Amino acid sequence: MEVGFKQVTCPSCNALLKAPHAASVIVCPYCGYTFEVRSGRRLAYYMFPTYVDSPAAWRIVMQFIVRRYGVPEDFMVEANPRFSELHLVPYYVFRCRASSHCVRSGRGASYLETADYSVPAARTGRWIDSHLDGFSFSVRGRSFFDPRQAQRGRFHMPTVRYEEAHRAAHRFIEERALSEARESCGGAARLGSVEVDFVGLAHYPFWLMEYVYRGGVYRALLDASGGKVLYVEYPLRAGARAMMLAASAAIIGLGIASGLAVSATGSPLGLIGGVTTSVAAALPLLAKALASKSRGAETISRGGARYRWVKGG
Amino acid sequence: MTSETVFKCSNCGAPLNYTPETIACVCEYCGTVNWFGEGRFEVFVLPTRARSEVINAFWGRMKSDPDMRRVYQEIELIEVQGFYVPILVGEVWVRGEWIGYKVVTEKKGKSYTTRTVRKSGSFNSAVRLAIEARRSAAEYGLPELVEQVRSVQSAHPLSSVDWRAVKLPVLNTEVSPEEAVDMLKDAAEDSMRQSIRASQGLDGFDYYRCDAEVRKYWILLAPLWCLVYKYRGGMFRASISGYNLQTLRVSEPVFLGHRIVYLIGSALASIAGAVIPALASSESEFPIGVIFLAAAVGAYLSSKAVSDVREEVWK
Repeated sequence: MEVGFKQVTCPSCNALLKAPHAASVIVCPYCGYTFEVRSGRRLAYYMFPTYVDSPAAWRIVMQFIVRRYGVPEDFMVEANPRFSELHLVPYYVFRCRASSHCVRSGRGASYLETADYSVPAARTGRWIDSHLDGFSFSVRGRSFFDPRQAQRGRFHMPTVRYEEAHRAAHRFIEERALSEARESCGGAARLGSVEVDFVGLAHYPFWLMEYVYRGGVYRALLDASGGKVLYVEYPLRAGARAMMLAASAAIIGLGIASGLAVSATGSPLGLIGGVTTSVAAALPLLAKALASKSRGAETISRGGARYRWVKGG
Repeated sequence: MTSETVFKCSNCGAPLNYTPETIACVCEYCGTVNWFGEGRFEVFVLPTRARSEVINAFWGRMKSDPDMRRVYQEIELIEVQGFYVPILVGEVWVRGEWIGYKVVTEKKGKSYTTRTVRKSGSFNSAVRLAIEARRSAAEYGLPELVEQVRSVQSAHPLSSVDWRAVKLPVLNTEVSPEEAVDMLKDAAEDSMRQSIRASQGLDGFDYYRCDAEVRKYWILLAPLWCLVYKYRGGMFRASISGYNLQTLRVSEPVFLGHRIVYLIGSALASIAGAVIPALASSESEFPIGVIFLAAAVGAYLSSKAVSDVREEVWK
């Protein structure tokens, strides 16, 4: 047995499983039976299928990069895939509900807060970990356990304990409920009832990718179920850097010149205002021009409650 | 439970696209609602237009757009996918009262003073809300579809759709009726607070109470079409509402002309940051705010100048 791993028998199909010593919950990669190591308790489980295969993942990432500003013209010819790895990352998913109360000058009010909370149940040990927190799932594609899906990539077993994730969900909804009370009322806020229901453990697929462009190595992360680009690094052509530096210089120059002209009339605020504003205006250009690698991501916003007046009383 | 487990429609026996967390699963063959769990919703549908009409709507949008019509020949449509999204719609009666405050800056002679003004009021009315009935879900154009759906009056019963002809995946409802009531109450409280704050120009509340009573709620299946197109090798997205063919959201390339305009705007903000505070400085120290505002506008415009897409959103 590999160091750092232990052998466990699946209580459902009796398969011998290899699981990390730190595993808190085990998902049998053959039948999908999901159970807590310490108590043996069964947990609800589902997964998001990998709809984007490796060639499609490269195509999406390359097409996303090509649309970015300042990408070299020979990018599609010179950029070559170096490495891609599919990671199936487990998430604990909770449904949370909390009420809070507030009293101000003898008048009381109650507030209700409901929210879903999902938190990664394992760390991959790769650079992608920082991108996995606060991730919103694709609206499509929930499925039951499928061994063919589980065996497509690195299937991470949960190492974060269920109780720890449950406590985090508690803290999350408590803070949201109290914050709502504080926002609504200047009096003393207190927490009412708190309910955190476990919805299930869900594995979500991500493509971790690296490519080479003229000797430099660049990274990308793709949502392998929804096809969204979560993170890319890409090179900038020298001409684009020069253009951005020239534009920055022009903006700062204009700001200083306007400031000096105004200050000549006796107002020192002109120079202060001109320098402050122009440096701030040039900052996004300078940051992009001077960075060794440019970075980007696709922004897909989540929904939320929408409302409309029906009738007033 | 694995994918080998097959659930069948209670009406026609066709295999159901049942997935974990499903509360209501609409059979894609006959339109019957199959329930998993306690409690029932009324389920309505906004029938989708045909795929060919959605594609025509996309090209129509591109041909009529002042920027995109010039490069219309270079656009290649590479993906068109449609599906029905379950959206929870509810009518909530809200009653309550509020006391809010606003910090007002006033000019007295050559200096400015601030004071806090208090306002109060009450409300007793009905609001209609819409929330997607999927868990932790994000999709391009989904917030805009939800926004559109809340004001729709013409939903149809499921039986009005020829499901065998439509052949569009129907995403399952993942919200139970009990949870739906809580979600609507929470959303009503938040919406009212936000609405009062915006309409009264308040900086905050001393007191806000909202008693929400959910009168009626239902699930509306709304068709969302997601399209991907290519322009000069780059990938862009568009979302179209399948029931009225309106473009919900579209990402478009930033052309050289836009970049120049943004850069000129940023440069003008820098000049304004120097000139406006100096003109006003004889009267007070208030223009410090103008410098920050000009700096923020300048930074925003210059970041737009080197951005990769412009997003156009349905309003």
